[in-house]
Amino acid sequence: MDWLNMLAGLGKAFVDLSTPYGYWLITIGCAVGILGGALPGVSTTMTVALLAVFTFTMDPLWSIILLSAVQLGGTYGGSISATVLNIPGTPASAPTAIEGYQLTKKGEAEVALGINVFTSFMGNNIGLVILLLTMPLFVKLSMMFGPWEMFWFGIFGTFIAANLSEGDTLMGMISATAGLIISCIGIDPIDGSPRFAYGSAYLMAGIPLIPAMIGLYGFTEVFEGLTDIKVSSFPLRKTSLVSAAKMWWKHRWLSVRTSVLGYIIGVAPGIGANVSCWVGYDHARTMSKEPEKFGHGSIEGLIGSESCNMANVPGAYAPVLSLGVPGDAPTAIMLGILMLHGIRPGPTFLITNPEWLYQIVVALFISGILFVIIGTYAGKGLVRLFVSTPRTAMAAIVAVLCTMGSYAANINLMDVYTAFFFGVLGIIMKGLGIPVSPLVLGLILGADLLDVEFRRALLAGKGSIAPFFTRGVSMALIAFIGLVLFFQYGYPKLKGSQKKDRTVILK
Amino acid sequence: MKSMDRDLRVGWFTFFLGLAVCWLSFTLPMRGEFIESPGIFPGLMGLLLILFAVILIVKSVVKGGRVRVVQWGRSVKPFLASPDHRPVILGILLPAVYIFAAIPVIGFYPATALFLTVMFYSFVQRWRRWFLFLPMAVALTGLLYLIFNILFQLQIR
Repeated sequence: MDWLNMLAGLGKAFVDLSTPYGYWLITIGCAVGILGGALPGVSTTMTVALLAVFTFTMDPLWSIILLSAVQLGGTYGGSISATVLNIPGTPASAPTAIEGYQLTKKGEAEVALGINVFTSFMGNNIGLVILLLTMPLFVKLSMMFGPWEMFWFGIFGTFIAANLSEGDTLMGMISATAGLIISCIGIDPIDGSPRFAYGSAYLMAGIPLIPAMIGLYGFTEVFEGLTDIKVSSFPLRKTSLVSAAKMWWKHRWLSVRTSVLGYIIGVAPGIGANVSCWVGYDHARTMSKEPEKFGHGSIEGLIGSESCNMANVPGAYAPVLSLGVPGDAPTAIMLGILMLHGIRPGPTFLITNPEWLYQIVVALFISGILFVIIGTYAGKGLVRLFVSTPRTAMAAIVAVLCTMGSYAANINLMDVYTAFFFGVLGIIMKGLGIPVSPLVLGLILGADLLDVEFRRALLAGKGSIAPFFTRGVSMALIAFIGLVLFFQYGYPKLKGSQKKDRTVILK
Repeated sequence: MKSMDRDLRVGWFTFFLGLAVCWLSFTLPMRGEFIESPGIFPGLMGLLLILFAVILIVKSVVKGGRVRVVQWGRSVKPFLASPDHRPVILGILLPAVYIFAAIPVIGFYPATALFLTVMFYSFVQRWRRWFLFLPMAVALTGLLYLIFNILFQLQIR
């Protein structure tokens, strides 16, 4: 694929998409995606699945364009409720909730949303550029990942979890390990036998992630919000997109670095934005000159998490288009839609249909512009509405949204009970000084990644743990983790800056 | 509560939790070899929990932490009786009534309207007029119905 062909392909895609139908489709997709992402309990995957129903009779390429706009809008939309209500609309917006909500409390909700929207836009664009330039290379690399390497990815995530601790890495490790254990409840993904379910059909399906997260972040906030009756409502400092862009420019290299990270994670099938957002957040915190601001409304934290989160979206398209292997759940639905139309992407697919890559790239770019417009105005309206509402009334509304959100995920009342249980657990953990976020990351990384890959690796290695350390890619990953740990713990000590508190105060 | 006392309590709780997880994991039925056992991963996590707990306990004891069970037990009653803590208890109790009693009995939307009415009346001073809190609660419930049931076609009843 040479440069001229690529530019010509992109130009043609722009022309092809620049029809009223094209813009209408992308606008609808983006708007519904933002709404779905912003609503607690309505995940991006669910929104993509809901709109997929309308694509059965559409042209396959247009249907993927619509769904990609939904996915992008949904990924951004999650950050709106995370920032304003402290309820992550999607699991990938959990770090945004930590920093964004603290900014909202300080009256900087508009600043936070401005940063989110602009960073998301740039993260998406950087991801798209990398997708165009490096797709063949990264697809080859991701196919070299076996269970051993996926296990190391999980371990990397666990180290990040421990690092997100409230002044004490040990508490973070305890919280993350508890999350890993809780994630094991349910049917064992390898041999299908129930674990810790004790005959309960509900527990056999496993602890659902969305209600657990809604409980840990949303309900905990409700319990605190209702008790904090001295604060009538939050202040509000108005800002513009231009000042958000200026703030982004100040941290542009952080955004570029975390976008690259997000893209790489997006390419690896099965890891996804839920993990990448934390990687970006942790990278921002590790490299920050003001680590003490993290957990108290850090702009760098927002940029790190949102860039990584958004660049993940283009990354997820690389394996689905060239190998037919979905990078995440929304792209899995898109693959299903393509197969419904009799199209099966594979190694030769992009050679015979190069316009697909360009059309999707252009559609994601246009979606990016549209979510800046929709997100800015809709977000500002929501912020003004939310901050002018009395704090206790807001807590009551959030309680209802948490309840409906956890119910809507699976239409199961037990999920609401689960969310409530995790809300109480969250408030107890806060009282005991145990950070909540590592538990969430443990839930994400546990049964679906670490457990499965660890046991797959053991089975593939016939019980031997040697391949964990001897495979080339594994060794490279171990070196990478070692390097990250060195920069996290060893390097500051060598520099003599160990007095500086590099821990995050997470509520 | 001193932080080392609190850490010590967390340490002991984590220790027993780790023990329980190990016991429950390693007694899970095995169909094949040990490496295929569904309990291997949670069991290892249980061991890890025990290890972290021991480190936490040792660190807390070295700093002078002690488990003051009697003192802790005595502090529960004043906590519950204190007027300062009443909002904390109500803040958990009212949503609990909404979730565990109202929704299963009268359904999602009637329970939501009722919950919002009670909450707005009880907690929001400046809305404490029936022509404010009542329409507000009903309108919000209607909006939620519109979004979740009509737009997203979710079967919430």
